[in-house]
Amino acid sequence: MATSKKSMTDEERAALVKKLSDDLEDFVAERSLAARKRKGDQPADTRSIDEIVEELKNHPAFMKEIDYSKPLPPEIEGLMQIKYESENPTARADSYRDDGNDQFKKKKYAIAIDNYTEGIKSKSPDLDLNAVLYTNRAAAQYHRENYRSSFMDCICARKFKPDHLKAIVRGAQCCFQMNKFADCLRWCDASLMIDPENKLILDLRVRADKRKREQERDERKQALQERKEEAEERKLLQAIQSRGIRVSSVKVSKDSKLDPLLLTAMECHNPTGAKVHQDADGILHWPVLFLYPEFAETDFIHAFCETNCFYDHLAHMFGPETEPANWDTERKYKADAIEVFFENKDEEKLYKVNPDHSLLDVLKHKKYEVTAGTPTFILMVKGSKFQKEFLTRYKYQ
Amino acid sequence: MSLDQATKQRVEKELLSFLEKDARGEVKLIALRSVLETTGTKEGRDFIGEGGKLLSAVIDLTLDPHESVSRDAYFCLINLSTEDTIAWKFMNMPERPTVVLDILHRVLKPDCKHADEAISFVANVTRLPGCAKQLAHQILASDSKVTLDGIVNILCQVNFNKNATMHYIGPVLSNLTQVSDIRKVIMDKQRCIIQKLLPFTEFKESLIRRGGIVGALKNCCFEYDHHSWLLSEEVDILPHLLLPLAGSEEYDEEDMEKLPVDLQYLPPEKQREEDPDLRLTLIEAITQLCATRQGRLTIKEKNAYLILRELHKWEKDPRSKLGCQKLCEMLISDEPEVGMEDLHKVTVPDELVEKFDKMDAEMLKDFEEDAANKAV
Repeated sequence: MATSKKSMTDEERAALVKKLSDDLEDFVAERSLAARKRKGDQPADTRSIDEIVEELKNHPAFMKEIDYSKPLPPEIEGLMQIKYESENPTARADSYRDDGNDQFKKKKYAIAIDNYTEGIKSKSPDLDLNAVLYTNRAAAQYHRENYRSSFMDCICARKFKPDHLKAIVRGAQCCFQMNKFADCLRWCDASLMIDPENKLILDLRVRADKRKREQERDERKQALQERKEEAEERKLLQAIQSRGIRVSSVKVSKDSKLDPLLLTAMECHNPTGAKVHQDADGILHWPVLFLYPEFAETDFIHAFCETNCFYDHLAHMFGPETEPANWDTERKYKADAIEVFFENKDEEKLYKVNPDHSLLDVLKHKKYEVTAGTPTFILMVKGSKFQKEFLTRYKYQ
Repeated sequence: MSLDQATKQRVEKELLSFLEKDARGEVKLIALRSVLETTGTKEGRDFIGEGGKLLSAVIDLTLDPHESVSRDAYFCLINLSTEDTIAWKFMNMPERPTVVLDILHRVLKPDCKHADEAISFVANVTRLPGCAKQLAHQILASDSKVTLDGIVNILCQVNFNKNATMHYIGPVLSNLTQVSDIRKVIMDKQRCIIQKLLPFTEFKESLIRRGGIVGALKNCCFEYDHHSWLLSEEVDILPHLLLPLAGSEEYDEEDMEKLPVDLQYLPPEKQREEDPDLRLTLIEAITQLCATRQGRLTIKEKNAYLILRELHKWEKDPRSKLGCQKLCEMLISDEPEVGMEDLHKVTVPDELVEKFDKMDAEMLKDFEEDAANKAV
């Protein structure tokens, strides 16, 4: 190292500085070119400032609120885990309560419910905190109109703290919404024990008391109506039985107890809803079914007065003035040509009906039994081929 | 048993030594038994009640740990308090001025022993208006350990003390409501007190409790300023006064719909209040509500006449029938002329009062004769 430090001239120094600076610029330019080449055809960052702000908002460091309806950003999820990972169940429950309350204030009740539920699940030994969690969840449920769930939460809250006023007030409101007015009064009275001048409850109590009494009136009215209807039914059955008319599935007994079957036996089974009834003079009017097996057709008479005879109806339905039924293409069915039968189902036998007899006469026939509340008769043309075959099938003599 | 003063003093002194707190159990029991027997007659009661010392001793024994002693002590108090003079003494014991209040306070705890006996004693004492007034003022004192709220709450709880019925708290409330200040507290418009009592006009389990509550309600009807509130939706007292007077009559739809809802479509098994005195109390309560114009108009509008008309047909008891008749007449007659509408403010001349009383007496006599004839 014999070379001695030669002092540089100013010119030399300036030239060196320039060279170094140029070298650096070349290097940077080269690198940036290489980088751009690496990115290939990726466009340059064209994001607007607004978009960048939006992106920053979603960064946990800058986030002001969390939208739970969207999947959580992974950073948030991680932070949350740290927050709720607390070993202390009370701290955990407390934390969930705070979050629930925040959501509740924003009217995001479903999320608030989830938060309170998590808080409850933390099983904190703090009784008051649990009472609050249940009461708050009850409030959120109430706002979602889940009155039953809300009410159950009020009951739970009171298990932790029997005189928790907010839970009792909420419980009273739930009872009212569920139309359980007597319960509502009890819950109101319980809350008035703690807060005797609570305007909300005093007002609720007045309304519940009024509704309760109206409800009771409606029940009494309904019961009265039912009793009247039953008495009518009883009278009707009495009228039927006293005539000696047999009704299927009914035992004719003197027993004053009403056999429920009796009533159903008289229930209307036809779509029109027609049903045997008694008029002011005590005369029965029956719905009656005429069957025409030859054509598989039927006629339904809404109210066949028991004192009318069959011929009255036949003359009206098949008289010379009447347009024939559309199935009676041959115009065979004339009042005088028709024969009427009824069937005894037990014996599977047919009995001929005298058309000059009244409906009552026929119903009183010892082989007649009314089924489905509707007396039924079979109508055929006297002496027709069909009738002969039909009667043979029944071994009619 | 008529004793001279000296003998009385000797007996009292001897008895006292046996009744002391520290006396032996059996001795106390035997001595107390003899006191209890003595209180069975008026003379006996007067003797025990004459000096304050025996009364004090008996009161102390109500807290005796032996249940048979404490119970007998209460029985003594009940017997003694049937005498007006002694009841007054209990309320005014110089050395223990709040003894009745103290006993009432005991009863307001759900685990109180012999609560029924204790409360009967309070009911007996407060039977006297003067005593009721004193006790009322003690209760209303700001530092009182007994509150009206507390009394009413217990009255409205059917199973408050599992060892006692607590029915006699009804008459206690009825007695206390003789005092206007008490009535005003029960009818505190910022609270819900009288409202809770209303359903008990149909409380079938106990005539005593029901009667006490009906009596209290009637007393409240003497506060004329409260009439429109009592009849408003906030309280709605009228249906509760009418319901016990209603039978199972059916009315046509139009009449029925005009009645308060509580009286509509009553079932065939509906029974009227069985006690004629209570029926009369209910009638008197409604009559009081008719003393103000607003009250009377509301009662007319609610078709109360319908219920009372049917009651009048049915009523056998002469006094209740008379009360019912007079109320019906008021309800169907024209409104009084302007200035006379608030009946309680109208001064009736003495000779008219006398005349009306005479008319009432005659009517009552007629009803009594009717009842007697029917009984034959």
